[in-house]
Formats: sequence, structure tokens, C-alpha cells
Amino acid sequence: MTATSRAIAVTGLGMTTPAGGDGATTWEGVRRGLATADRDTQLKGMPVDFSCRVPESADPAARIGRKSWRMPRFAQLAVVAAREAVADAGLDPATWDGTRVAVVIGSGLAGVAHLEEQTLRLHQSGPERVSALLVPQLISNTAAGEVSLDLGARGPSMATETACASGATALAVARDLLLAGTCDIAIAGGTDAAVTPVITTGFHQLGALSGRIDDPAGASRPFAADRDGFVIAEGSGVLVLERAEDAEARGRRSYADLVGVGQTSDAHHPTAPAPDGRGAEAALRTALADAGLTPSDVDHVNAHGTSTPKNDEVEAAVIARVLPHGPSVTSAKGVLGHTLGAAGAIEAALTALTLRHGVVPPIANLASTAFPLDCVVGAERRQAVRVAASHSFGFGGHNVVLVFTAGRTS
Amino acid sequence: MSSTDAVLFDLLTTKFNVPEREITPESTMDELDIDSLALAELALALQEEVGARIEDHEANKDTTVAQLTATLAAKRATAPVQ
Repeated sequence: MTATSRAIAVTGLGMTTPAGGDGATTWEGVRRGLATADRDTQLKGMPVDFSCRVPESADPAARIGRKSWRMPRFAQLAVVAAREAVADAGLDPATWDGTRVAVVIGSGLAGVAHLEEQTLRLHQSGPERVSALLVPQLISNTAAGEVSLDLGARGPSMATETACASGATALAVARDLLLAGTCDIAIAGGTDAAVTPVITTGFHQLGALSGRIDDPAGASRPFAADRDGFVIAEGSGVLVLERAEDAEARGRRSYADLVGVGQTSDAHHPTAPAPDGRGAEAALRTALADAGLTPSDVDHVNAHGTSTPKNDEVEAAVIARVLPHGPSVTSAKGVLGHTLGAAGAIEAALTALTLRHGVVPPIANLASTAFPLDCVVGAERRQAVRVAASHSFGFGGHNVVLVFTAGRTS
Repeated sequence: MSSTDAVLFDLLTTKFNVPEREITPESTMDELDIDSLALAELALALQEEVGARIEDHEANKDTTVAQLTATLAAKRATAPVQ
């Protein structure tokens, strides 16, 4: 196993999640393995009235300051995470060549909260009362646009939309931009803030949410035999990516290197994963081949692990089939819930931290699993991980697998 | 401060995060960082709070707080009760 010249270094991380307003607090919360799900007053009266929200103490609007008024919450979360990631990478937007900095931020549901509000205004008060901000607050590229504007990043800037894989797709696209030489720095990640009554109820109507209304904290239980759905959440994760040789040249330490990407589609069903997991399996095998690695090299999987009956069953079978040697498996969704389009990026950041620190966080609410997997339960596990795969799957049959190795400049 | 002044002051500080110390009768919208998008949103908010509609030609980046207040007050005096 060798690091390839196509390695992309993760030189900065930023997260704003239900576990905390920054990467360090999020990492600590995920390591503790305590669920963040709680009753949600904004969902009062809905069939599912609990969620995982970013704590009020980490209010992104307050941290952004003056310009926050025009930003939809999903963009606010991304801007805060992007600022953190850029500072963490030791980059200074005042001095960098902004034309060589790309921004790729995925989102699953973008500004739907504003569409809901403005639809009500239209019907209740008339067309004159519809906000001029509706369209810019609704469209999914607003997060990338605001990050670009906030940091003076003037290279390519775009959104990715692959539902719950959007954040992972953003990292895959950013990697390609770097490898193509289109940019020298990529600020990439995912964001979502769609915990609204309509969207939450929509997921409920699909049968995707946990119905443990008497036990919100125990509701998200990836890979448990008695799992019954995911818990809706909000958050953002942003990573700074650079070509490994560039990071090395400027003396930056890499959390981990992104060395392989696999992207496939199930072509099976709008929302259900293919029962045989063929798309997910192909994504995993493709990512490993892209990295020049073999399945037996993988010693850790940061699973998509949503806690839905179907995802976890199919994903467990894929892991057991492709990686029968039993790498450690975790899912952060027991702690954070499902942050939708942010999940792939948050989990990539957590995977990078696992590689950096040699710590695999436990799966919350899981005592033991019925699947033939080495799930980390109870407490975090010390493990010197060399190769890790991070899985993300989305409605529409999107499968994205990112393979990371310990950074060559770590 | 008249009630119209107070409404405008309150909107500028709470909705648009303008620091109180920056707001004087002579401050222009541009100086307060109220750009065209913000102005559209401010006009909507004023319509709801004061019941007077500021038309596009009645406010721009060079409009001062005093001018906007006067426009609002005049409209309010002649506006039908909503």
C-alpha cells in the first residue's frame, strides 16, 4: 500500500452540528456516544416531534454577524463551518489568490424552510407580501455562493445535490477539480437545515423516521435489531482539500488523505436501496480500486448507518460481503441524527479525525448488533486506522464512497 | 423619536443587524450597508409595520434615515386604516 500522487490532503475541518458549534466539540460529542435527539417545540403537534438541532449557544447567525440576516440557515451553518475549516487549515483569505480557491457545498433540501414561510404569506397576505429574498434563500447554491462571498473565494463555486449523499458528492467533485488543476484549494462540504414541520412530516409519511416518540434520545440506533428509522437533524461540515504535495510544500499537516472515490447509482427505486446492495458495493469497490487498494486493506468503515431498517440491512450485507475480514464499523447518526445533505461531509471529517487520532467513536444506542459486523459499541475504541472508507447513500439511488488513508504529512 | 422613527430604528437594528451607534438622521442606506436586496426587504417590513408602501423610486442607496422617515410619516398620514 502506498500513497499515490493523486492523494488529496484534508488540511482543515469545520463542523456545526447538534453536538456543538465547532469541529472539536462535535468530535468530543461523537466520541462520548451520547445521543443529541430531543423534543422539538417547532415540531409540536406533528406525528414525529423530535429532532437533533444545533444548540442555541452555537447560533450561526450570531456568529456571522451583520450579513446573517439575508442568509438562509443552511447557508449560515455552511459559512460558520467554512470559516472554521479555512482558519484550521492555516489559510488567510486576505492573502490567498482567491481565483484559485473553489467552493463546493452540497445540500439536500436547501432553503425549503423559506419556501414554506413565503407560501403561507402568499396565501394569507397576498403577492405583495412575498419576500424578494425568497429565491436566493431557496436555491441550493446559496450556501456555496455565501461561502464564496464571505471568504473571497473566486474560483469555481457550486452546489451538489444527491440527497443524503450531497456532502460526500461535494468532496468527490472538489477532488476532481483539484486533480484537474482547476483550483489549488477546495472548500467543500455539505449543509442542511430542513427540520421543519412539513419536511419532517414528509419523511414520516415515507416511513423513514423513527417513531419512538416516547424516547427521542434512544430513537437513532444504527445497526440495532430494533431500529425503526432515522432522526432528522441539521448541521454542516466543511473540509479544506489541497493536493497532498501542495499541502506538504507549505508545511501543513494533513488530517488524512482522500485517496479514492467511488460513485454509482442503484437505478432501482426513487427512495429504497437496491435490496442486493449492488450499487453500494460497486461504489465501495470502485473507490478502493481508484485508491489502488484492495478490500483487505480497509480497517475501518464510517458507515452511512441511518438506523432505517432497509439501509442498515443492505449496508451491513455489503460491508460483510466486501470486507469479510471485519474492519471496525461506526455510524455517527446515533449521536447526531441524520443531517441529510451535510452527513457525508460531517462523516468524512469524523473519519479524518479517526485517522488522525486513532480513535473510533462508538455507535450510540447500540448494545450489540445482529449483523456480522465489528460495530464499535459502548465506548470509543483505540485503533491505529490506516485505511478507512466513509459511506454515503441518498434518495435517488446515489452511492458515494470516499476512501481515506492516514495523511502522508500527518 | 416619533413612532415611525422608532419602527425604522428597530428594524434596522434587529432585522438587519445595523449597530445602533451607526444610525443617525443623516446616515444613508449605503452607509448602513442596506443594499438593493436589503432595501426591498426593508420596504416589505415597513409595509407590514407601518402600513405604508415605499415605492422603488422613493428609496435608494443615497436616501437618508431622515428622508425615509419623512416619506413614511407622510404616507402614514394619508394612508387608509388597515
